[in-house]
Amino acid sequence: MGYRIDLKNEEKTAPMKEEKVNSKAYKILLVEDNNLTNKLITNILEKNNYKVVVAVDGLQAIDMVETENPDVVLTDILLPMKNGLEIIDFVNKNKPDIPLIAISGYGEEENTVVEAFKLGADDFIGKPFSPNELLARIERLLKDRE
Amino acid sequence: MEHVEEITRFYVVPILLFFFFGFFVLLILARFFYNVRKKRIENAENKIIAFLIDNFTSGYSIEEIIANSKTFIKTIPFRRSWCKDAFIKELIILKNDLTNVDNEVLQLYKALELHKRSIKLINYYNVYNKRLGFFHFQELEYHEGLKYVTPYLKTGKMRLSSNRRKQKIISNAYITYLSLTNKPIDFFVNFPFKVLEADVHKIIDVLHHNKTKIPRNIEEWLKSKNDSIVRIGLKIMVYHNYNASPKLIINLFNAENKMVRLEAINSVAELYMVEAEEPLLELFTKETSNRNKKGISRALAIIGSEKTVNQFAEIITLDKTLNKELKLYMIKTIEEIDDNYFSLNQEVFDSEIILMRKHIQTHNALSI
Repeated sequence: MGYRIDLKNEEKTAPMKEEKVNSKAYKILLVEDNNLTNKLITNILEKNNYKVVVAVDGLQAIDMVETENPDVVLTDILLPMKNGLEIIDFVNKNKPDIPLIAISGYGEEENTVVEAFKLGADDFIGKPFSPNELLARIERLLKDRE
Repeated sequence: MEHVEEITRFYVVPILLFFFFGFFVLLILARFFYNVRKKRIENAENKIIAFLIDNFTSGYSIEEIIANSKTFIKTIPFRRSWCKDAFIKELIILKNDLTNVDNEVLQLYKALELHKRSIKLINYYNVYNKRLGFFHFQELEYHEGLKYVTPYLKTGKMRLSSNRRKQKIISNAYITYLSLTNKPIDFFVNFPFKVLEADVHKIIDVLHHNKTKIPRNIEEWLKSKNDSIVRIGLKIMVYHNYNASPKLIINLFNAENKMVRLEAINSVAELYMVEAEEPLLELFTKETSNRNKKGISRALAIIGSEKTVNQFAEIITLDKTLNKELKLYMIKTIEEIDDNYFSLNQEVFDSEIILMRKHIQTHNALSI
């Protein structure tokens, strides 16, 4: 059973899918240092039955990849301690089965996104993003993984 | 002597001790109040974040969000300027995070009269506050704010002692103006100061974001005595694929400022101006900056022909003092133009060149 996030026109005309990949609550590791963004994404994911664990810096993220064993890692690029590219590199080398999505901020260099893909990111989502797009990308990666 | 000892014991030492402990207590109190204030701000920020997320992700109409916000602000110290600043900051983050909320965020900003706080910030004497006010208008796309920005475009309007402060304010005012105006940006050619490197990027970013039309006087930009304007003009030409002025751009290869030369070098490549090949080869021989030489090499990989291959092959074989990194770039350029050249002329090149070529081939180094 899913919730519907009604976000203005786009979402009103294209309501979010209610069907999830399956009933299992997938665990998502969100790596984001901004308070609002972090709570916003958590809110969107939790409303759609995902379990979210949050890391606010790169070091914490690397620890949590090991301890939490997430199904997907969703990481910002600009982070304190270790940046998103280092996290992608770490996950790709140590837990290559975990799908990775990089979140790129507005105005971020195109090269950074290319670098993220080179290091093993499976997808990227640019800010500003639509909740439906975020959910669709996560679902696709989970389906591909299965 | 005894008298001095008495004064020290009964007056100097107690006074010093009093000041020392007084200072100590003051420090503790300052820290205490700082923590209390910090906690208050954090609490308010968390409430604002929760409110915004809840309202903007639950399908409320903007009228409902505004009505909810009027009730919500009674639960936080909204009258305080720090609280208003926090509210605006979170609105900006929300707008930058989510699609399709720009208009609602702006309406909420106006409904809560937060624009008045931004105007107040602009009217402050302090440079940081002014810039913060401009930033609010720019990020929230508050077009009505243009009239508060315009006075700062003219240097004479400001009574500021330091030229540096003036420069910072005017730079920010110009960027804000560029991001808010729908009018042609021809006037920017008269910008009176050097534009800081970070601001060059901000300006280009704003122009891309707003899909601003190419200025009608763009060629004048390239003739400006202000090097920053020349560089921005070149970037705008590239963005709009404006290739009607090859001579003007090629003339800039003689500019005194090496950054202008580099921008011109990059532009001829981006605009695919094959007529720039010879001038580039000529510039390569007299250019003093290695960075620019690498730029020339990159540009020639795109627009170069047999002429480039021959001249570069001669240089890499004869010039034994050539910088190794540059040599690598030149080999890559030859390879990009004619990938058979090295195979067909193997006997001409020494082992170092052959190894460098192998390195480029195997590692796909120096993507051009």
